[in-house]
Amino acid sequence: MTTNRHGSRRFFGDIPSRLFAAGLLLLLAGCGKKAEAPPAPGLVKVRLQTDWFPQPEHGGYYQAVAKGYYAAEGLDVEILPGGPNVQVMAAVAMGRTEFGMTNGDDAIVAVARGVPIRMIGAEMQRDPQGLIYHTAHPLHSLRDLEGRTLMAGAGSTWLQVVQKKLGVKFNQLPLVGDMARFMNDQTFVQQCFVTNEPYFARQRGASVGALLIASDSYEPYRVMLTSPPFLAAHPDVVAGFVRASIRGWVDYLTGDPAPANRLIAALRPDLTPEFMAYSIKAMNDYRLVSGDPAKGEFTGQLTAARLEKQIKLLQEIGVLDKPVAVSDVATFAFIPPQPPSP
Amino acid sequence: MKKMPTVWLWLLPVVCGLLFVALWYGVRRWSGLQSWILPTPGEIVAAAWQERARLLAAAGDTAVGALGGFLLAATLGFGTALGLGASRTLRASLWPWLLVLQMTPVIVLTPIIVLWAGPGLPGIVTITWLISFFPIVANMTQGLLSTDMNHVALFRMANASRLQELWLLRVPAAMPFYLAGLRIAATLAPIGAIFGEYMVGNSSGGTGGLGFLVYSYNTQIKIPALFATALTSCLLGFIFVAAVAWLNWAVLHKWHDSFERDDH
Repeated sequence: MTTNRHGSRRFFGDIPSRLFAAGLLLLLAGCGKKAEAPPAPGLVKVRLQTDWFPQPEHGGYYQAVAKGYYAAEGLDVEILPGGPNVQVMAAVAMGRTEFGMTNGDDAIVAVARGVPIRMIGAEMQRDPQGLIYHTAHPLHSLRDLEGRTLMAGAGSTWLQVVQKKLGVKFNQLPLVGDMARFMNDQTFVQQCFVTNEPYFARQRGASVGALLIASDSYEPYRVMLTSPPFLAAHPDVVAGFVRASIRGWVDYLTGDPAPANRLIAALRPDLTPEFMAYSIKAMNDYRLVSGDPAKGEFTGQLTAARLEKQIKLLQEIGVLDKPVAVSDVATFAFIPPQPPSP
Repeated sequence: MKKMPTVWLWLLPVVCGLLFVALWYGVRRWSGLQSWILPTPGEIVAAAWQERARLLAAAGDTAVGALGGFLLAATLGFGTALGLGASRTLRASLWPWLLVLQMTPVIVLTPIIVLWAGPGLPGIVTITWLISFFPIVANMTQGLLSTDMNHVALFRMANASRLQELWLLRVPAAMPFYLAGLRIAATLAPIGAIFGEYMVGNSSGGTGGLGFLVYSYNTQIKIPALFATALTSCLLGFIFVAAVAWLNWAVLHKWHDSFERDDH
């Protein structure tokens, strides 16, 4: 039985109130927003929200920071690291960041849901999402998924394209972070970034290949975004941001990537130089950023025709809430007119 | 109950642990699983040592998130329970909604948490708070309502005000319940923080915590290191539980029957 034999002062007298106070202070300090770095004199301060933890797939932006390309456009760009559930598009739409980057078809779907965002340029001509497979059971095209077991992001647009447009049937498991199932099952297929997982699987001795999901029937961009109000108010800032970002990407992939890699490595001590080199090589091998010059593609390019095709495809498989026009989705005013010299 | 010799109290868990480790090695040996599916305890300890700098820094980050959420839950839980314990109307109005809050899967709330609290530490603290809040409120409220009726009668005979009854009688009497709630919350807080890092974390301002390492080690197929994050998180949990056990002792040992005293 609980009995109260002493005055209540005793009960609280024994609680180390200083411990509570110290903890509360720590809590308040921890919750407080970090003091924002003051912008460099004469530069316009803007933020770029990325979609994931810093990695070479963001290398062009870090290169533009490191080599002063943004500063040359009068911009002080702060790159906000992403992570799971970061919600780049909502952050752009709510004005928590001036710029964002994400998958192109996600952006189209969001615009159809009424999220006020606008594409201002392509980061990559093709999204790096791919399928990793064991070479003993290879995939040559998405049609080869027939009857296979696949671990993939639930609700991914490309899955619906494969199912509804190509009529391919497969078993699907929700994508979780690990690769244990894949490593242990030669017939298993898993969604990946072609720039990422294959490296680690090979490092563990598996003989694997990766099929880029982007194909003739489905080829989403990766895009840079801003909000229509910001675009209307600061077209020159947007123009400078797109120009410097493209310059950063071209330099990162064709020049010396060390300046960006140093910035990334400082934020991601778990990424080795070998891995970053692999990632960069994969971006070049798959021509993710530069696109296919034979098709007239170049770094940063967005074309109305390709976006039109994507919108039509998304509409056919029924993922758009309402019809959208290309002009609702993207502006082409900031796309450089011809390929930047290699 | 007859007292167990102290040596057994130490020996029994050690023996159980050794048996478990032996079983683990046995399973690994007979199943033929590779190290990147089921690492042995030895491999995990080796990986923990190899990654010690990163694990320690990450554990520090996670501890900040866990402590923040825990303290928020401890203070808000105390306050909420006071309100619920003091007013039948409030209890009737809010109790079902507290249950709803507890039963809502946190995964559902993560998008809102990211938008309102922001990614990174604020979101992680919010998730930890959400996970550890309910056991504290439930226990403390139960404690306030479980006060010995003889003592309540005594207070009422002495014309004590309701506030006096609450603060001088019910709150002290509820302390064992509150501390039991804190103890449950202490085991939940580090897990909540890691889950938070896994759901809404970003790596800004530090290592990103143990939840981030879970991502990192998983994609890099460093499975012994992945298990080492679990080991680290257990150690963190033990520190939390030990702190609450100490608080429990500090508050209760002079008067509560759960402690042995000389005046029995």
